[in-house]
Amino acid sequence: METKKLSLTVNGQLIEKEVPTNLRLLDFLRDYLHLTGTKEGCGEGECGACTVLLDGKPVNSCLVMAHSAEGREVVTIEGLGRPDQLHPVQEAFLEAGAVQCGFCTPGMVLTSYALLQENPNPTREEIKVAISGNLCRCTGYNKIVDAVELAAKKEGK
Amino acid sequence: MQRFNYYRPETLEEALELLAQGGEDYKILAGGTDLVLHLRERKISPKALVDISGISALKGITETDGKIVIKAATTFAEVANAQIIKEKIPALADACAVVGSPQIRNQGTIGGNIVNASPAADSVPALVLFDGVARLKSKKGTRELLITELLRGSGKTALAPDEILEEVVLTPYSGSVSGFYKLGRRNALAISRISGAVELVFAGNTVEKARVALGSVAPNPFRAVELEQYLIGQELNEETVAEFLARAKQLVSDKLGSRASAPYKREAIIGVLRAVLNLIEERRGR
Repeated sequence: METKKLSLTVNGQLIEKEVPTNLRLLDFLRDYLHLTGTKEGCGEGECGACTVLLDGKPVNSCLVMAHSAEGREVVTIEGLGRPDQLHPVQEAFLEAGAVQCGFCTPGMVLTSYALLQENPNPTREEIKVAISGNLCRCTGYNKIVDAVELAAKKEGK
Repeated sequence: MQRFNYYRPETLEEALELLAQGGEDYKILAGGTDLVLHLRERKISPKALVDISGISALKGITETDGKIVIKAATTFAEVANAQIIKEKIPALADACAVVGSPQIRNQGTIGGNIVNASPAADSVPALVLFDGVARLKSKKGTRELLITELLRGSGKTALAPDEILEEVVLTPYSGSVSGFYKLGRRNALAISRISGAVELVFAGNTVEKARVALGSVAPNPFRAVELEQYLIGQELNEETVAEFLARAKQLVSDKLGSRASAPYKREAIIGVLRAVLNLIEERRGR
């Protein structure tokens, strides 16, 4: 199998691995680094469950080749907080009841985090646009928007 | 996934050298939002990918002598958020802001949108509107084609296997106001069902210059010259707008003939172009 050395930063850690050339970033994160918080939903860039931050911007990791991330910075849900020390966005999702089955949550949280980095006080409309690439199959959208508003308040403190 | 080699050149020259060697067996990878899917679906089976996303010379937006140059690997988000685009050619900012989803806009590139040659490509009507010229580069040299000449039907272009689309050059009318509107089945991630872009220059209240481009009506987006000619010399009022929209409906009807989508699209174009004219009026400060 054709392989190639890949070096990139994942959650602040420099990683170097010889990996196949036909690997998607999603598969690299899940199968090689065992960062299984990143989910595969549709595998076609429609649902956003596989969202990670690439150089700070949300992208669908199912549509990014692993080697395209060479030299770049990836943040997955594992890089945002720790179970014993949640990120304010994660806390807000729990407090607002914005997590149902949880499958969309990693992508939703990362997209929301990226929005708040750029725009610390978004309107509900801006939040809806920002998460328009993330589908929630439980359709719990209102509480997710509530959670992002709450996170903005928490971080504004 | 199928196997292939992978190259990640850092300069345009290296990329052109690879394409000169590989020809049709090598595929260019930019944002990947379409290509990665096509690979997985085995619609294409290249021997190697030439990933141009690491070539900094293929990114960025500049303005010289009233012309706006957008490098091919510039993302939709970068185009939509660029101050110069919002000021000088807002129709293109409108178009790039509604492509796919935020994630897709952070990945997908303007060059990829052109060379994929989809009839529903969101940014292309706005590029065609401003007389977009594509600059193509290969090891042998450079050539320039109007985007309307580069596109050769659904999924087809005049791009040679050893060529890269380096940049697009747009020539807006000086002092123009423009807008774009797309109708999809829903807001996010919807493929354009029909779209329109209009650029106008006013002398007082009279339209002095006009450009109109339509998307998802023909195999590729095109300039609607007959609509432009009607607008020139008119004052926009209820009567002239109604006549403009009636002519647009007729044009769409003629283009689509007896296609199944024709009855829907010839009505939809009226709403789409009305939305564009409203945007333009808003931007004129009315």
